[in-house]
Amino acid sequence: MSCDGTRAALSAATGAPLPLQAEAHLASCSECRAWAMALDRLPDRLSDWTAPEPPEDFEARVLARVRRLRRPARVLALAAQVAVFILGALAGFAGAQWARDASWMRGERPPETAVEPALDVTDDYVAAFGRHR
Amino acid sequence: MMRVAGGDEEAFAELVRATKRRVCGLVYRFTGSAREADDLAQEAYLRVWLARGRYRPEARFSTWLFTIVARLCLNERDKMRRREDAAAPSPAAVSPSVAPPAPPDALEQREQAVAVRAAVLELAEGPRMAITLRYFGGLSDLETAEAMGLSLPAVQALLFRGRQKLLARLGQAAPSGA
Repeated sequence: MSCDGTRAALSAATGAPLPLQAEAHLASCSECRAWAMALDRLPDRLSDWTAPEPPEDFEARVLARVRRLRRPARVLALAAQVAVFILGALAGFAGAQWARDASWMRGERPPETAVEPALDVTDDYVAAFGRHR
Repeated sequence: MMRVAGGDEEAFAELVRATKRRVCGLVYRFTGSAREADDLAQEAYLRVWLARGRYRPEARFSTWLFTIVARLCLNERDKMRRREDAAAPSPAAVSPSVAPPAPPDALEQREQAVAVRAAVLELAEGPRMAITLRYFGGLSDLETAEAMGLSLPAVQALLFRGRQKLLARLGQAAPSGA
């Protein structure tokens, strides 16, 4: 096995046993043995680079953004409730209208209030043209 | 996480408290910039909140979280590269070896830290994300593959490339302080 193949096998092994060919190559190649040792030390080397602590207000800013995301959802829910109320009211009104129309079609006399004359007719008008009722 | 999935904001706050150091640290190691890490980590948590309903408890939470973080970082880098390409199409402008490094933080003044930082940031994005998830995120090879949406052999190839370059850059000898 080549140096490159052996190192790829070392990189992929992560605790698992190496293929026999890679083991054989390692036994005879000091450069690959040095590479293997350096690979073992790599986590320690990388840990030299520390990250700064997150800003103090990090969490507060995340939560503020989450709440801003939720606000439009609340507005939509309210709008949906209002729409349902309006549709319900319209349906109720239409239902009542339909019931009244149906009663007329059955020949039932409509209530007096429904046929109030729009204008007061004077006695002279009644004398001249009669009462249209 | 199950409480978060149900929309519990207090549980979400606890989750952010418990994981922010790891998430910000990981993004920082990928970008090399504390400000960019802060922005991207904030955005990642928003995406966690928006995707909370899709979390399945059979998946390890850290893998799920880092999947969101990794994809966000890679997408943002893509967008940034496209913007840079449009602004200045010179290949030298986007070459990591010539791009000016972000100013180091006070904590990184030690020689070893500066060397590690430069070596990691010089990696191409694929190997860098794999190395970052593997070493700074503490994921296994398989979890790294899941987080990056790649097969295990593909991620092992990225890790190998990354390790080769890191060892070549950092040298194979033990650090002077060790």
